[in-house]
Amino acid sequence: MEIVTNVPTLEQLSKCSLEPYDGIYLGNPYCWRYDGNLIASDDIKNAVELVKSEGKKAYVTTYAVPRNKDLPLIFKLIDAIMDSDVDAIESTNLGVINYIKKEYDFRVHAGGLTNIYTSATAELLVEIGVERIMPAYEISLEEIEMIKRTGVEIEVVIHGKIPLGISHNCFLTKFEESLGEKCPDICRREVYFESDGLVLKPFGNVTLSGKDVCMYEHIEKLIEIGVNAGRVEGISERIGYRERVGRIYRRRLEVGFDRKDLEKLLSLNRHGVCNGFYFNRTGQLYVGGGV
Amino acid sequence: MLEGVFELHVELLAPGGSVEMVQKCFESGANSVYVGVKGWSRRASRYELEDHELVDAIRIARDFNGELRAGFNATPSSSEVGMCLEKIESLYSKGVSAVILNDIGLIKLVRDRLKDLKIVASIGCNILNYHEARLYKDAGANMIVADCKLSFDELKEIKEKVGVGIEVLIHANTDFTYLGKCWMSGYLSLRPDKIGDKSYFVGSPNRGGVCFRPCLKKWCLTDGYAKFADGFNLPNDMFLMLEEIPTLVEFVDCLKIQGREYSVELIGEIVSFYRRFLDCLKSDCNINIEQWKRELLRIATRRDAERLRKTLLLMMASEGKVKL
Repeated sequence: MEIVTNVPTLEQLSKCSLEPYDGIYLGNPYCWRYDGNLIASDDIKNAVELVKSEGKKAYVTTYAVPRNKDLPLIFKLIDAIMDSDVDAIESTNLGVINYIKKEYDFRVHAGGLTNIYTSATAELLVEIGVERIMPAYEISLEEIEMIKRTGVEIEVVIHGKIPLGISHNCFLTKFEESLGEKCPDICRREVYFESDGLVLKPFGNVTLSGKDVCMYEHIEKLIEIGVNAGRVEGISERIGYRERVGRIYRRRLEVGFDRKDLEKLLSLNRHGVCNGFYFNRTGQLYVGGGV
Repeated sequence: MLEGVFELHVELLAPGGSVEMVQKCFESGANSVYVGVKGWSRRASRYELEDHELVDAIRIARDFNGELRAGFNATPSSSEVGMCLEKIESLYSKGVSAVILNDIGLIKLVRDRLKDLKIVASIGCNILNYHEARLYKDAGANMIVADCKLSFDELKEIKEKVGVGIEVLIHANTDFTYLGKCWMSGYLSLRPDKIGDKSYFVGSPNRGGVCFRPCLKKWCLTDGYAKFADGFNLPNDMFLMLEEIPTLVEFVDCLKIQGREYSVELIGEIVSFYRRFLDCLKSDCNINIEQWKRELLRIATRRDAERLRKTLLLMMASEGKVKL
C-alpha cells in the first residue's frame, strides 16, 4: 500500500519532509484563491521536479468543483505540465476526468468528491480509462471492496479531516471583520464551526470534519480489501502534521501496531478522532479496534 | 409590465408526495409529476409511494395525459444495482415512462436495457459544467437537473454545447453546499435501516435517508478560546422564482416545483399559481408582475411556516427524540 498525502504550496513542500510518503498530491483543490496554491501557479513544474528528485511520485490535483469558467484554467494547468514527469492528474469532476482521458495521455485518479458510490460507476470510469478511484467518503468498507472487484486501484483516507461539504463560495469570508483578517490569510487560521459538540472545520469552499478520521487500528482490513493507497489528508494542517502522521503510518506498515503511536495519533487533534463512514455508522464516532 | 409573447413548450413538473398530491397536481395544471419509489428516492420514506400507489399514480397521469416520473435518485449500494434494475424494468412494464437517477453508472446500465425510457439525471448528480453534462448525456440521460447555483449564462452554454434537456427548480432551497456534495448530516448522525431488502440510511440525503439539516443549527465560530461569532446558521434558503421565468423558458425544457413533504393544499396552490403564470406568458395578455409577486409572497409565508415545523422535527429526530 502506498502512503500518500497532499501539499498545497511550494513553500509548504520545501519545508516539510516527504520521507515517509510514496506519493504527493500537489495543490489545494478547494479554492483558487488560496495563497500560493500550486493549481494556480507557475511553480507547479518546480514542485513536480522537487517531488520527483526525492524519488516520490508526483500527482497534480485540479479544482474540485469546476464550472464552465473554470475549465480553461484547469486545462491550462495540465498543458503546463504536459512535458513534465508528473505521474497522474487527480480530478473530482466527471467531465474533466473524461476530457483529460480523451485529450491527454495522463494517468487519472478520480478523487473522493467525484461521488463514486457503486461498482456500476466504477466500471464506467474504468471504461473511460481511469486508473485509480477514491470512493465516496460515505460508503462502507464492504462497498469499497465491491468497487475494488472492478479491478481499479483504490485509494482511501487513512488519516485526517475528510470533506463533509463543498460549495461555490467561502462562507468564512463572511467573518473577515470579526476575525480581523481577510482572504486569503483567513483560512490559515485554526477556526471551527461548533454546535452542541458537533465540530466542523471551514477551509475555503470546503467544510472538513472537525475530527480526524483515524484508520490506524484497521490497516490489515484495508490491505485485505486490496486498497492500493492510503491518504493522509493534510491539506489544512500545519507543516509538522504530515511528517508526524506519515512516520507513524510508515512504521505501522513496516513494523506493526504500536500502542504509543496510536496514542500519539489520538492526541494530535484536540477535537479527537473518528472512523468516518467506513463501518456504516455515524461519521463522527470512533469505533476503535473492536470491529 | 412584461409582454407575454412566448411560444411555450416548457414542462411544468410537480411533486407527488402521496397519491392524493399526484391527483391534486395534475388537477392544478402540472404537465408531469414526480414520485419517489419507496426506499429509492432522496426523501423520507413517508413521502415515497408503495407499488400499488405507483399503479394508481400511473393511472391518474394517464387520465390527464401527463407523465409520471419515478424517482430512483438515492444512490444504491453496489450490491443493490441488480435489484434497482429489476425494479425499474418492472415499473416500466407497468407504464412509468420516465425515471430520475443519480448514479451515472446506473444511468448507463438502464439505458443499455431500456432504449425508450426517459432518464433524468438528478439534482444530486451535481452536474457543474458542459463537459460533465455531455458525459451524462453520452451515458444515456435525456435531461439533467441543473444545480441551483448555476447562472442562466452557464445553463445556456451547457444547452448550446451539449443539447441535453435542462430542468430547473423554481421552488426549492439552495443549500450551504452544492447539493449532492454534503455529508454533514450523516457525520452528525447516521442510522442504517432497511425497507424490505433495500438498505436505507437515515441521515444520508445522497443515500435516500432524511437530512437532519445540521446547517440550520445555531453555530458559533471559535478557535477554542475566543468566540468570533455566535448564533448563526449555515446558509440554507428557500426560493420561489417568478421574474426569472420569462427568461428561463427561452432555453430550459422543464420547470420543477419541489416539495413532496409539504401539504397537498399548499402544493396545489403553488402548481396552480405557476400554471396560470405560464398560461399568461403564453397568451398575449399584459402581466402585472407586482400583482403576481404579492400572490407569491402570500404562498411563501405559508410555505415557510410549514418548513419551520418540519425542520424542528428533523432536528429532534437527529437526537432520537422522535421517529420519522
